[in-house]
Amino acid sequence: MPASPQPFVLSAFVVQLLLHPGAALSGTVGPALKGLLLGLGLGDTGYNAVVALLCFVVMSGFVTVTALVLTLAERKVAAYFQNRKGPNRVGPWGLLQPIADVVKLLQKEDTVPRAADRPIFLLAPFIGMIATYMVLAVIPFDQGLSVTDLDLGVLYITAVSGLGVLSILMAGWSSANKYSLLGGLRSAAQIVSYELSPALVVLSVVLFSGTLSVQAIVEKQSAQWNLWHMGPMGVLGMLIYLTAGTAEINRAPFDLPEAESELTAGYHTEYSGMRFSMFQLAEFMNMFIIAALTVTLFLGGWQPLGLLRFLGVPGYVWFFGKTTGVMFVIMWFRWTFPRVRVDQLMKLEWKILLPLSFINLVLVALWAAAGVGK
Amino acid sequence: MMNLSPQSKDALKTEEYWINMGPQHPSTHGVLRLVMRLDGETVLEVVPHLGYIHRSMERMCEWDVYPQLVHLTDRMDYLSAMMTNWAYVQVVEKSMGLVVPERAEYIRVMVAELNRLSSHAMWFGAYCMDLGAASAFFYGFREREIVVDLFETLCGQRLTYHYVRIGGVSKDLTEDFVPRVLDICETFKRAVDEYEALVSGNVIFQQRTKGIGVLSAEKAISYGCGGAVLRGSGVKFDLRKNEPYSVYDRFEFDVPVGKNGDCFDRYQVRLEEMRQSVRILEQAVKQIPGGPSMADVKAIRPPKGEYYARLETARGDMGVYFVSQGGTKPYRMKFRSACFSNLSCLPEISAGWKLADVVSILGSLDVVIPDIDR
Amino acid sequence: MGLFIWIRDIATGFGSLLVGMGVTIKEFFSKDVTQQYPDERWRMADRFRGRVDLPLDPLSGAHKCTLCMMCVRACPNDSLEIVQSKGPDGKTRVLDKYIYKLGTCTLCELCVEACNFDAIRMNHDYEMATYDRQELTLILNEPATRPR
Repeated sequence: MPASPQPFVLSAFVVQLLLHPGAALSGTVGPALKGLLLGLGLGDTGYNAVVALLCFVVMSGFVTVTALVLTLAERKVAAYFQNRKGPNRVGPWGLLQPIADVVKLLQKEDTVPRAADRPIFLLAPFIGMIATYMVLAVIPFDQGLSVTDLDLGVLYITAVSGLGVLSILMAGWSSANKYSLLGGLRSAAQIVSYELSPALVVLSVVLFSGTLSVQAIVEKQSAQWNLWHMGPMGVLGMLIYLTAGTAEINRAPFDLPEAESELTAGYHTEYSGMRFSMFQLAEFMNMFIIAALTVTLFLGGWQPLGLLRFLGVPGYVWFFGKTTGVMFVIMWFRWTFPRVRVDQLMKLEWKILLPLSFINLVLVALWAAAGVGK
Repeated sequence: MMNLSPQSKDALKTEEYWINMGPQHPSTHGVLRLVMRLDGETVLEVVPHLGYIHRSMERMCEWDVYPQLVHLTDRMDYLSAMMTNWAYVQVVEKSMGLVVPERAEYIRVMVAELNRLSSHAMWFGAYCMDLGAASAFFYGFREREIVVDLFETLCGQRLTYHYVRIGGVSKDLTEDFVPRVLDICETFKRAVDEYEALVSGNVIFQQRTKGIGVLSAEKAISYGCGGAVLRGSGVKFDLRKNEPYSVYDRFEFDVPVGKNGDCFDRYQVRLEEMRQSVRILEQAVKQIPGGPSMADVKAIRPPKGEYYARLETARGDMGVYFVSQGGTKPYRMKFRSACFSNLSCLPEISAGWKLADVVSILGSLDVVIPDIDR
Repeated sequence: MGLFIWIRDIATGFGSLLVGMGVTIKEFFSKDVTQQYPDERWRMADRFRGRVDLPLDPLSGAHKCTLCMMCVRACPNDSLEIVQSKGPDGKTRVLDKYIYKLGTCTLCELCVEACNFDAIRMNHDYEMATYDRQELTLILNEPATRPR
């Protein structure tokens, strides 16, 4: 008889946490926490509040770490595209570079232009972060591992992802700077226009999967990922989504709001120090979100690929692997293509992407009605 | 009901505003200040302000004797320093009737064409970076670096060569010069193909440059433009063919000409010029004779009078005019800079285009501001 | 017909983008062209024009400068100045200070070409930035007590 069952149970729990974190958290940690809180006299609402707070802390940590790693990854990837090395002085392969960047940004003077509209100027970076956090709440990292699983997940995402434009408009307007204003206005037109095609593409996926819940869309891709299950419309839909998504997050080749060679940093020209880094954080996390959504909708989320499921690799490893791949493609776009001009950007959306997404929707409807995917 | 059509009295009115693309700007290729009157995004008027790097070179030329003035010309159009040296040296030799040894003529042609290659490679990189394709900048510079290394071995400097002197060239070729020139020819043939694949066919690039900034042939001639700006507008005029100087009449090469006079044509003309420079280099390497590389020159005392000579630099038509009173120092030296005339057409061809197009047009004119301000 | 052209334009446009991406991904996997300065330093070419230097003649142990002042006359912007003094025997002139203003020198090498005695040359120094402008005025010769 072993000395005590505690270490065995603990190690089993750790293994389950690593392989199936969703099940571990909802099956073991959740009830334990609820029991603890009931013992302390807090009811259901107390439990919900504590869980929400914990989720916020964990997500904040995740966002910070991811954004920091992404700043370094962007610089290294850019460098390798350009036949050079990127940061490699601070720590091996430059791994401590983000820390050096954070320390540098923290000790910068926080300037606010005298003519700036102060409350709006100070609030703008945080609105962007709020929108980012809100979308991150419904993305499933593994089976059952998301902050919340709304039945209207997709509708919620489409609604909330447009909030980012508020922060850009606020920053551009309140900076009392012609260049910032130009950048902010360009960006507002851009983001609002490019909300439409992704919404239609997402609608086509919803039509095909028959559900609005994000977790359910991923679960339905257990046999085949949507990319090929939806036939050629899967590829078309993913390309439209990726293009429109890159435009929505103001990244090259659609980065007119921050076109360095014309407007010298555009809407965030007047920000310095930590406020500026909030914008950068929001931008990198938006890139992560678009990649995560592409993966969720078309590439099977946390689902493994066909026979490789028998390797026993946990779902979140698949998820982050695929997301990293899509983020690499987004960075590849940035470092290859020239910038698109404002009116050409609008033409791309209204005359090319939107008609294509309508055609995509109709074709997917026909495909689904023909019984594929049932 | 408000009637918002432009003619009614309720229509939304826009105001014009002035914007300053300051002397310090990532895209103005030097310290050029562009003051623009905009209506929304459309440019109505561009006023270039010059003189931020005026160093009174023409006045400095009145203080020193003729051989001491060659190094000043390095610093005017520094991207084609060899050719600017040559432009000055040519007029002094013409005034004195000095005969330059044949080997020196061939060496001058070779270094001038190499300089043209490195200048166009850098222009390509800078132009693509202005338009947003940052990686192309590094590819252009990587090629330019090979040529600049060769110049370092030859004359000791990487930018301000001071190599072409009155009577010949200052130092004879090193032993590894010819093999390295042949390597450079091979590298540049591949490089220009790579640039075409990366950029020329790219739909975004074509939309940013085709039809933009059209300069008609008559306007180009009346503004006095030269180089690729003139040839891009359809005028087949190259000083190396129309008024051959030195030994250019012994080489077989074509003069590329554009059709429409837009930015894309100027871009294509420069890429094609790089290929033709490679052709000239290959022929020069075969034809170069032995002999001295510098004429036996005693005192440089041009006879009394006025003299003018011109030469095709990488940017256009550079002329040097001086008045001599028989002494060892010039009475008045005047440099007719290629970039000044090229820039003078900017206000006309950029009116009516968008802000982003002004950057594209200015880049396609390939101006180097120190040449304008001297 | 218009629909067909529209589709064809989209397809060719997309294809051109893929070609461009192919070029950059090829460069992604190519060797980089960076040099890890200051760990790896460039070895300059022989003819590199760094700055003016007044070397000591290895045979005689002294400078070869004969105070002919040709370099001072050749310099286009008066970056060289030679201060002479009387030698130990009271009659000959010796080099007291060879003043070189690096701040105004254009590295044109006219002084080296003017010297007939091989006394000055350009060395391979390129790390010449200083924090103080006075450090840019260099005295190039060894102490004046060295015999000529």
